[in-house]
Amino acid sequence: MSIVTRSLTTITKPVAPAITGRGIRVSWRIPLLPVLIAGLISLPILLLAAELLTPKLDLWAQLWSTVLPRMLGNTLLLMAGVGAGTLIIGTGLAWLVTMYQFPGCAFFDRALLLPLAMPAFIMGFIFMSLFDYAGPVQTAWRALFGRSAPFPDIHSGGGAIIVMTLVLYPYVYMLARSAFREQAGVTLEAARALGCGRKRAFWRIAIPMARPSLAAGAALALMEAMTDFATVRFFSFPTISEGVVRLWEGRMDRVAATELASLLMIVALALLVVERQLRGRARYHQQGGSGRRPVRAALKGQSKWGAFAVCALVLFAAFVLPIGQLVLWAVHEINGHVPGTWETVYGQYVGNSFALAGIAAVLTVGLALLLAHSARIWKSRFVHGLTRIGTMGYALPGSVIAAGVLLTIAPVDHTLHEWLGTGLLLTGSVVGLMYAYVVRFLAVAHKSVESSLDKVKPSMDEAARTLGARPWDVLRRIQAPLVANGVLAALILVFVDVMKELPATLLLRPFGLDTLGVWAYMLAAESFWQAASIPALTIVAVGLIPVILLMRTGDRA
Amino acid sequence: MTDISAMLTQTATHTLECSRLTKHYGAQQVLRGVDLHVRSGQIVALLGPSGCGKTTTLRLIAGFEEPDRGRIAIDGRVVTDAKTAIAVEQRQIGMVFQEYALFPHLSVADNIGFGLPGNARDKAGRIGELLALVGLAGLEKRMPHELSGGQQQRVALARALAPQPRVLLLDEPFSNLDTALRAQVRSEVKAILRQAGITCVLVTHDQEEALSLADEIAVMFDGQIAQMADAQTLYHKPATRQVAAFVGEANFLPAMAHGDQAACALGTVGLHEAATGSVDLMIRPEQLQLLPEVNGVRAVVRWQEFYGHDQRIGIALESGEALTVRMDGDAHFVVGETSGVKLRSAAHAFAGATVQTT
Repeated sequence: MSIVTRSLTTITKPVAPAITGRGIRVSWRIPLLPVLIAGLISLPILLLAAELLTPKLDLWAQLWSTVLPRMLGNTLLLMAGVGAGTLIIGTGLAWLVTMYQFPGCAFFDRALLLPLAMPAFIMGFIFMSLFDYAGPVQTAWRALFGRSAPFPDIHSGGGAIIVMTLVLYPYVYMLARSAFREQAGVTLEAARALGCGRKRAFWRIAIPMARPSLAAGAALALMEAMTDFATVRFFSFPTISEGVVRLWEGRMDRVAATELASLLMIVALALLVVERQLRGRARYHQQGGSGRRPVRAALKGQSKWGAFAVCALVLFAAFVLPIGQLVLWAVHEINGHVPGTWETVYGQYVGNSFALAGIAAVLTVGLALLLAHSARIWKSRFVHGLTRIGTMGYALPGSVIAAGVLLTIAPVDHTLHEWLGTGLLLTGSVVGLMYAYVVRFLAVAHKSVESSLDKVKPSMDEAARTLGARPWDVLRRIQAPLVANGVLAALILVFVDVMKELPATLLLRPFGLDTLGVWAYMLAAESFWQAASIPALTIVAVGLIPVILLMRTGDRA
Repeated sequence: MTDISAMLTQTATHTLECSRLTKHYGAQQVLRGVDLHVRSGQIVALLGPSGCGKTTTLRLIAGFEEPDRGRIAIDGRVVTDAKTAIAVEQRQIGMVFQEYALFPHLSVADNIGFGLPGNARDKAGRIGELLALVGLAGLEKRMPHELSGGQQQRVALARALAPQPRVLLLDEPFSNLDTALRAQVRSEVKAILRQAGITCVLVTHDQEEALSLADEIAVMFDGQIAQMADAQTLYHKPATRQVAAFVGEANFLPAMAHGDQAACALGTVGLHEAATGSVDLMIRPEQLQLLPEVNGVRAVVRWQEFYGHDQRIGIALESGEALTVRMDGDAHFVVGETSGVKLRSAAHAFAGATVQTT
């Protein structure tokens, strides 16, 4: 073996340039990129907050004397109802599928995530049509029990709460399931060895230990509930979010809409603080886990079928029923198709939706990569804080972001117009909408990108360097291939979220640019349910992609 | 004359020369003038407790970090000094990382071939040679996560050796293996390194690893090399009391030295090297022997740990000193019993005044 007998002449390569002033170069540099990104994200929020500091009192007085008390009450009621509903259903189902063996438990374990693919407003109009006075359920009810048989009014908070609970419980379910799995195995066995039965262990051990995860899941569900305006509108249950859209879209009163949005922002930020604190604690709580799952106890007799029935009922109501109805409508619509109706615009709206979602995904993931990469380079608390600011948009309702983005870009537009006569360059184009998408979905992209960057250990970079790779080679041969999957996942997530997004799209879309979501909403608002099923089904189909990916990777939240 | 010519030939064959390396992290000084000379083909271990600066030294040699001051030359070519900072990838060093740092998206063959020039066909021959060298022939298509810890380690070694580096650096290479596997992998790695004939610097906090693998061991404390010597010298003639206590187990006894003899609580004992005045004797536990019959120095057995092939016995001398004795497993003593004790071979003396502080 002559491994080391390489001739000395081979090392007379050009010597690297001498480095002067070592160490100084780094110390005074400002992390420009993260500062810029965090600034970009927080500007709309700060401008909205500034609105709160200079309240238009007469406007508030007017709002207070008319719609505000009801909207505020409805918002709180909705949050309480959806919070309780998602906690009960999500936690209960998670406990069933992790702790017990019953027919179909492995199937339900994953299938119960499926409702994530369904935007709340689509679910809303389906349930509306099914349970409305003229709908099949009430019609059958009257046929069975007579014309005056009482039936609960679907146009109510109760209806909205049920629909949103059915769509949003997977957030709690997902976090509860992983909490039970990761921590419960050993701890629960210890509890049972100490003479504590499964049911008591649930209340005394599992729930207290999983509490941070459960609350964080409920907070995520509530954020989604707060951004919704369409479902509550279908159910005649106006919330603040609905009020912002109504003032903006219906009455063209952007000043009042902005004031109302700033109020909603306070609620959202409070929720964000709670969620972030609990998330941190949830991570801490779950560190003791050994990774061993608890042994599932086999249920017998009645309880076996009881557990099956509960899971099947939820899955039926939250997924099978609405999908079935959509497919049924779509089949009718296609069969009874009148030429020159929806097929003329379908392609165009699909194109619009895909283009918007595609551009937004690339833009958002690009910024997320820059943000995550600079956090790795700088490793400072300051940059960490900037990252947290840059990724808080997921908590803000779409209508709030729309109001903030408009506050940010309208003055720029104005200035540009005065100088160059450009007209509504930003507010009249997709720039505002893209800005809103980035603010809202940067966190989604960042989370996925960051976790894939974490897989690239510093020692891998170093190993590549010792093997003769230049920094560019390290990026190309090591980092890029390792990060590729995470980037792809981030692109898919943002793409689908943009497809499902409604309020910001409705408020900020340039004139004449309609998307599948806006189209479906408009048709449903006019009770053209059968026609609405075509775009709705398209959105759900795209929405299923990340859910199926999630189901395949198991419990990675 | 002969001394100078010997020195000249020695420097000529030094593959790695580090001189007066110093390094600060903030206010903390981690290296206080490290000199390290490694001859061609030699395996040197940097041994010391955590935080002594051994890993920093290795990272300076690799070029991941730059020293505040000092000079590093590889095969006579300066890679680091006040004016020079050759990039890592141009130093022609190989490195085996503590966590192996295999590229998870590349197969075994692609990992090993990463640092080789040319296309796949050019690389194939060399990759095959290395797979054979580390005994992994047939596994070239596997992915890193499909390998055991010991196999991953050998891939990391093969990968580092593939481009024929001038120096191979190993950072705690065995600490990620469980104890049962460690001794076996260690002797395999030693055989591979010997066969490759490569110059190596190995960082470890495990003295057994250092003693069994390395030709010479540099013991580091507090950012300095306290002693660099072969295993025998280090064990029997440690330069400082600190080295004596870190490498193996040591008893210390105060004594008065007169030439090659010294008077202490064990009576008059022989010395390795002549000394005078107040000294500290270093006595390895196996140098002491307990005797069933009590004549001369008396000792009381305080505790006993039985290991099978040998045993450790704690004794207290009449003068109050506590000592540890290592004896064969078949000797029988009972805790509380009084017995005789004697020193079987000459002791090593440290001048008392200079070493008492440690």
